[in-house]
Amino acid sequence: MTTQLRDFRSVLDVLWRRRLELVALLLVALFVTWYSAKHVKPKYSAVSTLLLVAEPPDADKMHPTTVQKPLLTSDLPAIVTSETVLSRFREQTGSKLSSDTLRSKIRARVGGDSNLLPIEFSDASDATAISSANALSAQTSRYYREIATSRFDSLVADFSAQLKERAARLRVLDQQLQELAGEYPYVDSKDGTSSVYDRLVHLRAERAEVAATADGDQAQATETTKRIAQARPLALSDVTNQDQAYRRLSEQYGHDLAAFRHTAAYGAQNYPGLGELQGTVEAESRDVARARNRAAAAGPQANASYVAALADVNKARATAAADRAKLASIDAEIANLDGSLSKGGAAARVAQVRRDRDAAGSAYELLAGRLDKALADRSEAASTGSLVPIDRAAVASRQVWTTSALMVVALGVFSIWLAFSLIFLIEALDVRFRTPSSVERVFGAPVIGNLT
Amino acid sequence: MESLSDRFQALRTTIEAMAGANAVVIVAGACERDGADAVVRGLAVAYGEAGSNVVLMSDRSSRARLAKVTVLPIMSMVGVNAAKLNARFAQLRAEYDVVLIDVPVLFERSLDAELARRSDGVVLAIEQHRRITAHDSQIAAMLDRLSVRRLGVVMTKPDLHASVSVSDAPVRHGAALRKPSAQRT
Repeated sequence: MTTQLRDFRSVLDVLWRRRLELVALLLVALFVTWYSAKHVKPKYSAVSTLLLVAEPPDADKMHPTTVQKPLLTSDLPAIVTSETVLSRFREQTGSKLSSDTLRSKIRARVGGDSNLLPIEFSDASDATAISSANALSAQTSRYYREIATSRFDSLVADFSAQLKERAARLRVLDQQLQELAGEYPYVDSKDGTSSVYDRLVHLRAERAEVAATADGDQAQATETTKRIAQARPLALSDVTNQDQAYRRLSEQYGHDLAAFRHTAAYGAQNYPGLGELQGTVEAESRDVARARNRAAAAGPQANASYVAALADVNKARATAAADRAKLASIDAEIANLDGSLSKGGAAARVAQVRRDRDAAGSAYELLAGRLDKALADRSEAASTGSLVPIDRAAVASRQVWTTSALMVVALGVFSIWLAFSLIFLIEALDVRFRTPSSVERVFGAPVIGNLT
Repeated sequence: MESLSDRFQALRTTIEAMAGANAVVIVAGACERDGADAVVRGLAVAYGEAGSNVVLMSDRSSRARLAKVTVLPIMSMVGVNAAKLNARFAQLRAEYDVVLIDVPVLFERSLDAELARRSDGVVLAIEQHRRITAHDSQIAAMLDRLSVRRLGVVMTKPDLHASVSVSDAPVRHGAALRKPSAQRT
C-alpha cells in the first residue's frame, strides 16, 4: 500500500513538474476535439419493419410434409446486409456507395423469439434514410422469397433435365419398336409370337371357309358359263328373227320355196317357169343367208336375256376370281406368318425392347410425380415462410449518439490520454536522479541519506 | 521536520555502522554540482560534534571554516608511491577515529583511484533531479573494477552548500601528520 501511495505521489510529482507542458497539450486536445465536433454532420435514421411469416409451432403435426423455413430467424440480419441485397438496393436507388459503407449505415437485429425484423438505415439526409430503409426492406423480402424457393428451383431443374433424358430414351425405344414392327409385323410387341399362332389358326379357318366359298362360286361360274353357251344360239336366233329385213326375206323365201316345191311336185313339165322359180328361190336363199348373217353379226349381246345371262356369268366369274384372290392373300399371309415364326430371335428382341420401354416409362412417370411434388413444395415455400413488409418507414429521427459523435468523444478522450502519455513520455526520456531507486539502479548502492 | 544537522548525524551513524572504527571514507561526487564538499563538511562537523577525532582531507578553500575538524590537504599525497601511501593511511587510521576524504569529482584524478582502493568505502553524493549522464555509469563501472566498497549514496540539493552550518571556531590545521602516540596524548 505504501508503495502504491509512493507511486501515486511520484505520478503526481511528474504531473506537477510538467504542469505547463500538460496544460498546453490539454489545450491542443480540447481544440482538436472542438474542431472535430464542429464538423460532425447530423445523422438521421429511418426504420422499416418486416414480419417473418412463420409456420405455427404445431405445423408439423398438422402438415407432416409442410415446407420448413429456409433460414433461422437469427440469420435474417445477415440477409439484409448480403451482397445480393445491397447490389439490388444500389440498382433500385442508384446509390454509388460501396457495400462496406452501406453496411455501416444499416442496422438490422431480431430480438429474442420475435418474428419482426426492423431495418434501420442512417444517412445525413432524412429523405434518403426513409427511401433507403423502404428499398432495403423490399429487396430483403424479395431475396428471402428467392432463397425460400431456390432450393426447389435446383430440384425442379434437376428433375426436368432427368425427365428430358427419359423422354429422349422413350422416343428411342418407341422408334426401335416401330422399326421392329416394320421388320417383324407379325410379332406383337407385347405378346411376342403367341398372337401369331392365334392369327395362324384364325387364318387357316378363314382359308378353309374361303376355299369352300370359292369352290361354290367356281361351280356356279361354270354352270352359268354352260348356260350362256347354251343360250347363245337361241339368243342369236332371237336376234336374227327380230331383224325385219331377214324376217321378210325369210318369209318370202319360204313362200317361194313352198311354191317351187309344190310346182316341182306337181310336174315341172307342166310349169314352164319352174326353172326361173328355182333360180329365184336359190337367189332368195342366198339373200336370206346374207340377211341372216348380217342380222347375226350384231351378236347375242343384242339380246337382253343373253346380256343378263352374260352378266350373271361375269359376276360368277368375278366372285370366283375374288375368292381365288382372297385365298391367295390368305395363303401369302400364312406363309409370312410361318416365315416369321421361323425367326426365333425376333420375338425375344421385341420383348426386350418392350420391357425396356415399359421400365423407361415407369421411371418417367416416377420422375414426373417427383417433379410435381417439387413444384408443389416450391409453391408452398413461396407462400409460406416469407418476409412481409408490415411497416414502411415514413419519418426519420435525428440520432444524437451517432458514430461520428462517439468518434468525437473518443477523439477527445484519446487526445487527453495522448497529452498525459506525452507528459510521461517526456518524463521518461528526461532521465534524472529523481527517486532512490533510480540512484540505486545506476550506482548499485543504496541511498543512505537524504539531504534534500 | 528533521533538521539538516540531524540528518548529518543520522548519516554519520549509518556510515560508522557500515565502515567501522578508524575508517577511511571517501565522500565523492559524480560531478561538481553534486555537492560532495557540502556533504563531507557536514559529515565532518557531525563527527566532530559527536566527539570523534575526525580529519578531513580536502583541497577546497572552504575547509578552513570547519570547527572541531582537522583539515589536511590531499595534494600532499600526490606523487607518493604505494608503500608510502599505505603508510600514511595507516598513520591516519591510527591517529584519527575517522578520515574523511573530499573528492569533488570521483576518478577525475588518478590519485582518486589509489585513494579509493585503500579506503574503507565510498559515499557518493548525488544531486537529486540531476540528469543522468554517461559519466555516472562510468563511475559505477570503475568502482566495480577496483572492487571499491560502496557505502551508499547521499541525495543532495543544489543549495545544500549554503545550508551546511559552519563554525567560526579556529581550525585545527594539521600541516603534518602527528604520530599516533602523540595524538593519544
